[in-house]
Amino acid sequence: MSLSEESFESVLEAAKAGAEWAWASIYRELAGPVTGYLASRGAAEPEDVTSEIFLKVARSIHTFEGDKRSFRSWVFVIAHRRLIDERRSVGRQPDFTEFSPDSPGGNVESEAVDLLITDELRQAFEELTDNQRDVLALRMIAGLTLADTAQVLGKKVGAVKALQRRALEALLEKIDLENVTH
Amino acid sequence: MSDSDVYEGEMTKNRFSDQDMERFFSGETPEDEVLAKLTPLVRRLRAHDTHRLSEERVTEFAAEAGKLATTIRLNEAGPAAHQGTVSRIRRFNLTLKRKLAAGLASVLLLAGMTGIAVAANDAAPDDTLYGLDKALEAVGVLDGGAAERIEEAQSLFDDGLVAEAISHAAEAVAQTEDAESFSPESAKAAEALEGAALSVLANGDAESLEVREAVAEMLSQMADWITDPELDGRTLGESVSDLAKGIAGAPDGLPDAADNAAEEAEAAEENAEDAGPPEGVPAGPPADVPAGP
Repeated sequence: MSLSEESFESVLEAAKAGAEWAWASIYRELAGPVTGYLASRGAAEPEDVTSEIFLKVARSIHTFEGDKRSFRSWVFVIAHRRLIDERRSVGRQPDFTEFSPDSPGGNVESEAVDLLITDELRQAFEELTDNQRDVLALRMIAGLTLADTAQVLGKKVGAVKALQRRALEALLEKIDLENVTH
Repeated sequence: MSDSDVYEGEMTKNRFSDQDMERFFSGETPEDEVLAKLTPLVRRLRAHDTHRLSEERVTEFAAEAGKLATTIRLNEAGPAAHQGTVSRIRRFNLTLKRKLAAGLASVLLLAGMTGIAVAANDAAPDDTLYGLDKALEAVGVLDGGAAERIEEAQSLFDDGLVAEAISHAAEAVAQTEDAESFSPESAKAAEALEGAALSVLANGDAESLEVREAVAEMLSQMADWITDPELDGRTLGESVSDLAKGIAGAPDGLPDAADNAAEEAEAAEENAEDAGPPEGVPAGPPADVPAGP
């Protein structure tokens, strides 16, 4: 069950004051999608990075004002920037194939990402451009709206529309639908 | 070629409509057959197994984040409040001090109504009202005369005379004779009040949040008032009383005996019909805030 707009306001104020129950609500609501997004974008340790991101949210929450939707968008901006930082420090594009759902680090939070990681779909996803993968991950896994995705990526809405269209079409050209939707 | 150039060039050969794409990404079933086949995948991805987050992990994170948020908030409020307070202190009227004590007594009563009260003198650092305890000490509430007044107000409250209890706590010191004294403790008291506001807000369950928010706001307001040299004692007492009554849902002013009787009769009737929570206190946690997995 997700937080409603009405209860979000109370949760936000309580979280700013340090209430543990409020932070538990926020974590249950968003940690899963954030971990899935990071894993789908090749983050080395998605769970650890998720923890870092939410601690950053805790440090900065006193600066945030807005509704539930803009809070979700704000969290993913932080997540996306963290991802970019990791890419820069690693000095290469993340190798999506290195993430193994069966490894000790692969765990229950990544199960939804496992759904994406069939060999065929994973390969097709990897052949997309970086921007296309970002857009699909934010829309399909993180569940952000078109406008919020544009905000996270720092792009115009029209550009994101084009990216998601091309990404989806490219993905569909590369895969056999029957194999990935069984 | 920029992304927007690509968009313009491809408008005439779009395989999927904008509306269908939005249906797809939002998890609804699109009209296009191919997108419709992919939709279950999106739904599975979106439903992202949050119920599988281990409660141990959630609890561990919540504790860490809660402490972090509180620390940062207190660090920001403390130095700024202290600086502002020190710069505004001139001479502090003893009556003002006592009215503040009465206001804090009101807060204790309100806390008692919400079930989050701890006996002020017994509050320990981890207790909900530890901040209030320190605030009371800073203004000398826990000494003779003021403590007696708290007991009287508590007695009224125990008898169910909430409006009278609050009014007594906030108004009784109006009869105190004016005296003037400089109190360097007002800065400490203001800091303690701000700390108490944060403590009240941070400690407690979702059920009492609404009242705790109102109490915290009142404490913050009092922290501002306590260091305002232009504010006279009577105005402070009335202002605190108004805030306290607003939180408790009590009517303005001291009701007379006839009103008391009528109110008691009404209350008895209501209690018989529906034993609900006091006015202003939520019946339970926000209905759609998950309490757990």
